[in-house]
Amino acid sequence: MATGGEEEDQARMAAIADSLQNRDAMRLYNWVSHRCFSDCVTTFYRRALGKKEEDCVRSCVRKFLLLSASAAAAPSSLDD
Amino acid sequence: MAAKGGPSNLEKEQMFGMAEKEMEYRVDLFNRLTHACFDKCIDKRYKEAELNMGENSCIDRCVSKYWQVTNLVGQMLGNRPQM
Repeated sequence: MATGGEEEDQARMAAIADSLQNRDAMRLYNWVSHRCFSDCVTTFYRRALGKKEEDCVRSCVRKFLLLSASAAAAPSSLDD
Repeated sequence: MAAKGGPSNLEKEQMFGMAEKEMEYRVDLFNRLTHACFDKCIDKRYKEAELNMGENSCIDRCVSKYWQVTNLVGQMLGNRPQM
C-alpha cells in the first residue's frame, strides 16, 4: 500500500524549507553588509579598511545579531 | 524503492536550487555594491558626463572596502549560509 508518496512529500517540504532558509540567509547577509558599510565607511582616502571602520562594522553586526535574537524571542513571550 | 546509483531527482533539484540561490546572491551583492559606491562617490550635481579622477579613485577604494566589509560580515554571521 505504501506508495512512498508521503515520505517523498515530507522530504520535498524539508528541502523547500531548507532552500528558503538559505535564500533568506543570503539576502540577510547582503543586507547587513550593505547597511553596516553605509553607516560605518564614510571616507575613501585609502583602499584598506581602517581600525575604526572595522570596529564599527563589528559592532554593527553584533547589534544586529542581538536585535535579531530579541525579535525572534518576542512572539513566544507574547503568547498567553 | 529504486536502488540509488546517482543523485536522486530530489537531490538534483536541490543542487540546481542552490546554484540558483548562489547566482541570486551574487547579483544582489553586485547591485548593492554599485548602489553604495554610487551614493558615496558620485557628485550628485552631475556636472559632467564622465567620471572625474576623484570619483574614479573613490570608486576603486569604495569597492575594495565594500569587499572587506562583506568578508568581515560573512565571518561574523558564520560565513556563507550552510546547506
